[in-house]
Amino acid sequence: MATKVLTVDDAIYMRMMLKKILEGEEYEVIEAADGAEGVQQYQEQAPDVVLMDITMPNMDGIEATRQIVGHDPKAKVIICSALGQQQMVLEALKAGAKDYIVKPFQPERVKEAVQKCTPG
Amino acid sequence: MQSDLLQPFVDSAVRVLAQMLPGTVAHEEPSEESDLSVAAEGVAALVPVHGDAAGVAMYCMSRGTALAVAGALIGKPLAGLDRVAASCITEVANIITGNAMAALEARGCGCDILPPSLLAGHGLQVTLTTPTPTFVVQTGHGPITVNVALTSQNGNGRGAR
Repeated sequence: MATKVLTVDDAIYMRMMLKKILEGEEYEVIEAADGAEGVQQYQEQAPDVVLMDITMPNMDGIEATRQIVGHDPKAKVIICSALGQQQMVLEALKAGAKDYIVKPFQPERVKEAVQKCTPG
Repeated sequence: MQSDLLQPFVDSAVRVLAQMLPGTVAHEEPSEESDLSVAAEGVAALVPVHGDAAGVAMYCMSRGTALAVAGALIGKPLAGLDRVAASCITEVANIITGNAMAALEARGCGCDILPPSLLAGHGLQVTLTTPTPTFVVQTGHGPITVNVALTSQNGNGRGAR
C-alpha cells in the first residue's frame, strides 16, 4: 500500500507543487486548504505523514499540528513554511512537529523529510 | 522607515526570486520614502505584517509579468490570471515576506505574517497609511516593485498564537 501524505496549505500552487514531487515518488497525496480542514482530513483519512504550512486562514499550522498530535501522538507532521524564525521553529517542535522545511525548498529536501517519517 | 526594517526585504526578495525564478538579475537601490499612494501597474500582492513592526509588504507588477512569473513557476504558459496564477503570485509574496521575518527576528524585531491578498485591475492605485520605501527587482520576466510599509511598534510585542 502506498504511503499516504496529507498536504495542508492555503496556496493552490504549493499544493500542486508538493503533489507533483510526492506523486513522482509514488506517494498517495490528499490535500487540505487550511488547518481546520487538515485536522478533519487527518481524522478521516489517517495519512502516514502530513506536510503542514503555518500561515493559513481559519486555523494556522501550529494549532493544527497541536490538534493532530493531540488526537494521535504518533502523528508525523512536517512543517513546510515561508517562516523561518527560531521562535517559530521552536513553537512547531513544541506542538509536535517532527521536521521543519523553510520555503523556498528544493524537491530533494521534501522527499528526504517524508522518507525519514515513512514507516518501513 | 528605518533601514533595518527594509534591508531584510531587499535581501529576501533577491535571494528568493533568484531561487524560484532563475534569471532574476538584481535589485535597484531603494528609493526615498514615497507618497502614500502607490500605482500598482496591474497586479499587487499584499502581505500583512504584525508584531514589533506592523504594516504591509506589497509586491507590484504588470499583468504580463504576473502571468509570465506564474507560468514559469507552474511550468507552462497561462492564458489568464486565474486562481492558480493568483496563487503563484501570492505565494511568492508570502515566501519573500516570510523569509524576511527570520532576518527581522535576528535583529530583535519579532514579527509574523497573515495570509496574503491579491489585487488586480487596470490603473490600480493603492493608498497606504504610511510612506513606503520602494525597490525594484529585475526578474527575467519583468520588474517586480516592492513597497515595504512597516512602522516600528516600539517593542509592543508579537501577537500571541
